[in-house]
Amino acid sequence: MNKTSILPGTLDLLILKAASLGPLHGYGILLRIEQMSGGALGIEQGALYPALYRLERQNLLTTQWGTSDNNRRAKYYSLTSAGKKRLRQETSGWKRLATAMSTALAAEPEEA
Amino acid sequence: MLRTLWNAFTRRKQWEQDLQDEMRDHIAQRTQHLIAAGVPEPKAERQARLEFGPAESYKERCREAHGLRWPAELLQDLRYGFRVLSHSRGFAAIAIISLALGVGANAVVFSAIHTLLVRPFPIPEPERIYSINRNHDPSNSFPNYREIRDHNQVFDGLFAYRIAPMSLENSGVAQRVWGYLVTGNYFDTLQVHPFLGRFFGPPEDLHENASPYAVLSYDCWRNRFGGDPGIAGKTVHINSGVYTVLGVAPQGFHGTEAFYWPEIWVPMMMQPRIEGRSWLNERNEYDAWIAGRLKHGITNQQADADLGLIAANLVRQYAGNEGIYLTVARAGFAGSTGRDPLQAFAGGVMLLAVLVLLAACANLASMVSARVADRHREFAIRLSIGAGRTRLLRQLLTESLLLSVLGGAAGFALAAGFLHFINQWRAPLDFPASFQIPADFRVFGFAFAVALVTGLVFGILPARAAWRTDPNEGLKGTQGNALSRRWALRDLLLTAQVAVCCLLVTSSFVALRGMVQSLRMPLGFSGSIRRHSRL
Repeated sequence: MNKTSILPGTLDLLILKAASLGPLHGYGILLRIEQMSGGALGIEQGALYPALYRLERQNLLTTQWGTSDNNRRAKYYSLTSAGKKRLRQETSGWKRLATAMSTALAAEPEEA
Repeated sequence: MLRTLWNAFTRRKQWEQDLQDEMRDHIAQRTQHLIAAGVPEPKAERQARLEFGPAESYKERCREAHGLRWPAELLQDLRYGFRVLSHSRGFAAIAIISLALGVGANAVVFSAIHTLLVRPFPIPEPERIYSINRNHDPSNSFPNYREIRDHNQVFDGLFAYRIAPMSLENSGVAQRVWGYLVTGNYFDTLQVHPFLGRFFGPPEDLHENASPYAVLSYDCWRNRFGGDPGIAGKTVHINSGVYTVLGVAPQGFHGTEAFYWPEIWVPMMMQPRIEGRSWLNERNEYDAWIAGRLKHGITNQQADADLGLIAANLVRQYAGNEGIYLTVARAGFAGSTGRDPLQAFAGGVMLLAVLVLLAACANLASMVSARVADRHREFAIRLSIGAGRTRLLRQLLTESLLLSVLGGAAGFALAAGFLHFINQWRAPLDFPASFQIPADFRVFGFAFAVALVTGLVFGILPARAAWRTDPNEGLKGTQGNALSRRWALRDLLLTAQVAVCCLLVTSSFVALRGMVQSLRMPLGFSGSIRRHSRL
């Protein structure tokens, strides 16, 4: 499987996006990201957790304990209102950047 | 405090457990997924772990991201620090001893300076008490005192006092005690209140040899009279005369000279009887010291101007006063003669103490950086199994601070012991020059602050070397570049240490010589005392 490694700083955005679709535990977030990106983005799975803890500390994510599918105690992450706001900002920022980048890269040399 | 620590500690254990569970579940679920996708079971778990990456390192980053509660972290660091130090007792002992010496010396000097130069006398508004100097000499003639007292516009009260040795007879044994002859307005002007009985006042100081009264110091009353609660009204024999004890001064009150602790106060009018020869009307004998309480809002300059007018009158009216001028100086050190040299001397001694501390610092820094070099491998291992560099740095700082707190405590104990000894000690002078320097909370705070700063200084320098540790090089044992740089730092420290020590030895000798010189300094009243002791 040929995976593109993600740009620094984009992992946070992916996590916020994944969590915005409903409370998930850590592994669930990983699966959601893989599913959303069609498996094209590669994350080292452990790297998910420091990012989760950082976002929780920044009050963008909130956690609660629940029971997972296989009946085990699991920690569920969901988006706070600050997290939703941050997701909106970052998404529009990212879209602008992506548009600008693809326009720039698509530029053809002008005929003299 | 302890409960907070304990709660934090248990919460922290739970937190670690949760983190552990969360990661284990992740790997378990991944394994299930892989099996479902057709990967054979033993291989699946291995692959799940591989995909997860270095778990310990991620845990450490989670801890950092979470921002641990400080008590728990501190506890962890401290525990490790204690363990490390107990493994190298020799190092810890030498470090603590050199710190204790540095901190102790500074604490002693600090408290001496604070007590002698900064701490005010235990009387109301001590900052308004000024002494009057005649041509930079504290002594004046008694007739001049009367003129100044009656004509000045700037003092609320002006009293004359004289250091006087007396022979106090107690249960049939005569003992020489040091006391004060003071004018009747002395206690009123200083606004002290008796601990027992009453003080004498102006009406009891009107006529020569007519007021045989005495006031005892608190210590004199406790030590020589057994703290007799009925002392007021009893009679004592002073220089073979009978005096009535009126009262006892409050504890800690010792007049207006920093070094002098009189045991007894007698009205000035008793001077002829006490000293055997009257100078109360001798205009050309300078035997009385003068001090008083400046009026509210009067500045030194205003006081000096007013005294200038009086001095001019004195010169005009009385022969023998030619060329005198009068100035005020903060009371405490024999008029203006004592404070400046004492301040200079104190500054010198403080400098010495700081040098001792610097030497201790350099010593510690070079020891700690030698240890960092020895522990290079340990750091490399910790880094390669996922410890963050900040964590490593903090651990080193914690160890340094632990050392410095222990050293500071030892230094404070040393200082307290030394001060206790000094307070008991009497200078080999026939004079109650006593140093009452309490080892109070200020000294403790000072020692603690000095120790902490020292700990930071000698902890940060070597920590920089640890920061540069390269785990690969360290594990291979080829320490190469970093080591040579660290040796340079240690060489520098060694040089600094030698330099400071040389400076210390030289300046100690200079200070010693200075002190010998200042002990030979005339005390300002020696003539009449010799006269007395011949009697």
